[in-house]
Amino acid sequence: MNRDTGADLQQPAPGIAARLSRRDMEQILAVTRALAAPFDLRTLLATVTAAARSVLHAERASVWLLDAAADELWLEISSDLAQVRVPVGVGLAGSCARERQLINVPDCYADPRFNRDVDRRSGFRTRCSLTLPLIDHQGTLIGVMQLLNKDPGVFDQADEALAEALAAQCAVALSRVRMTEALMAAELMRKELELASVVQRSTLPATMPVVAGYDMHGTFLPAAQTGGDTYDLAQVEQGLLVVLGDATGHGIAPALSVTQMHAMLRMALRLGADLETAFRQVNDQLEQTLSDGRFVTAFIGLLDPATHRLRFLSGGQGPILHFQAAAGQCAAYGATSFPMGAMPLQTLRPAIALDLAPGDWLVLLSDGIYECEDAAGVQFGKQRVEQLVQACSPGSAQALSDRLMAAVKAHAQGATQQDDITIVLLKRHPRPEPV
Amino acid sequence: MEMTVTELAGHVTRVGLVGRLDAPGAERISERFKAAVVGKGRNAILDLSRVGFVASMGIRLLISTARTLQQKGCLLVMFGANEMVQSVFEDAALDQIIPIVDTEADAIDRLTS
Repeated sequence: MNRDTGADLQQPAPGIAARLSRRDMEQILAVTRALAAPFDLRTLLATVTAAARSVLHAERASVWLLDAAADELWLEISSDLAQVRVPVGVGLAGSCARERQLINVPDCYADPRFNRDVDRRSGFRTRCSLTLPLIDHQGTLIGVMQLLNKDPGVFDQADEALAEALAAQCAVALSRVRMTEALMAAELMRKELELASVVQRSTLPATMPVVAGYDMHGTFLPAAQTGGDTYDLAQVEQGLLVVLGDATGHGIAPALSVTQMHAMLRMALRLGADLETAFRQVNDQLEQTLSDGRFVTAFIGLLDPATHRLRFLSGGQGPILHFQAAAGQCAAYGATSFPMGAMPLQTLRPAIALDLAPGDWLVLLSDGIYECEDAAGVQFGKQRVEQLVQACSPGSAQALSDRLMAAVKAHAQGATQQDDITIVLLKRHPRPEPV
Repeated sequence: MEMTVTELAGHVTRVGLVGRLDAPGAERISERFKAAVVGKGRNAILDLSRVGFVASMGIRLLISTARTLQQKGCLLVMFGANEMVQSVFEDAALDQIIPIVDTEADAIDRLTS
């Protein structure tokens, strides 16, 4: 016997109240109270199924939950069964889920839809059953409630109406529990991301180092809460350290990769390594520790402020722009080697040395700028960057950074930022510092 | 992003890409590309003559695929990259991991040399 169920599930059929004993009514009210209380899934289902057993005089009651992705039902709670799964469409519970109809079977073993496997596994003998779809307030199927073996007799029409009332309550409660759980999970994730973001930002320079004759600026604007970029401008024993790192993608995994690279580099330099040694060590350590397919593009440079010579190695990070004030244009350099961590370094190409003349700039930008696309798919590109650098070269590093950010934002035409943006600028003052 | 796979004589897999190897393009072909290039454990050549653009996510796909192939003792050689793509590869020093040559014949030669 199949019967449609619908939006009127919230209301018991007329006359049911008269049939209920005081104890039955109290148990249904207990379920209703549970809806408004803080609860976990198991407690809620235990309450509902215990009430269903008692009110409908069933030997067993169970709630099957729908796994929509797998198109299966799984048994969340039962007195002696757990984690049973059946495909939607199989057995009485599966048929109920597929048809979204109440199924009342007075003799289960005579019904071809009945799945005897569960009985075989549990040793229980199912005689009769009442199976109802659990449909939430949005009309979404979230599971199936099943009552087995009325004592005495079989389930009748009055039982059907009563069970529908319970099923409606159960559906609403399940829906709310799931929403609560999803909200709690999202909140937990948000807090963890916040913490990861704080940790990542703590590795960035809090203030710019003061180096006579130089102006410098760093900006990091992640596309997600945590980003796959990093930068550094810091005075170390070997000189002024200039770093721009970019792990492909954004989010927690690239953030961890790039933070790892940054930490390794700082450690190597603190231990006295020169540029080449530090670069090689970091590359080879990353190659061993990063998970497959991950790598970090990184520019690592050391400036000697006394000679104004900047030596750098770059693992996959490019273009590297050197604005030459005397010529009024940029010289662009590619990476000296492949992205860091991609494979062990067999041979290391020589570091590139740039002599920064008065008014010269070093411009390092992550691909979030170069690859920023407009609505037609046109990238911001190197040419626009060079034009901006030329136009802003007399100004401060902060001013150029602001102009770059504004120009990229305008280019994106309101589109969501797709990749992390990091800017590292180093400018040698055009005139010697006054003595 | 579209992909064609041809098995050549001498146990070489030829993969041709068409379109933009940017983040969406790389994501679209990622699994199929890795399976085609690495799956059979053969040397492979990659035709980029119809790829108009490569972004960082595309480079990541190329590197991770080439690395996996290298771990199997095989080589990936790319050919036919246009000027813009070539420039992106040079900026990333990709040629230090994946040989880049001009033509398909050069790619085959590189595998046999």
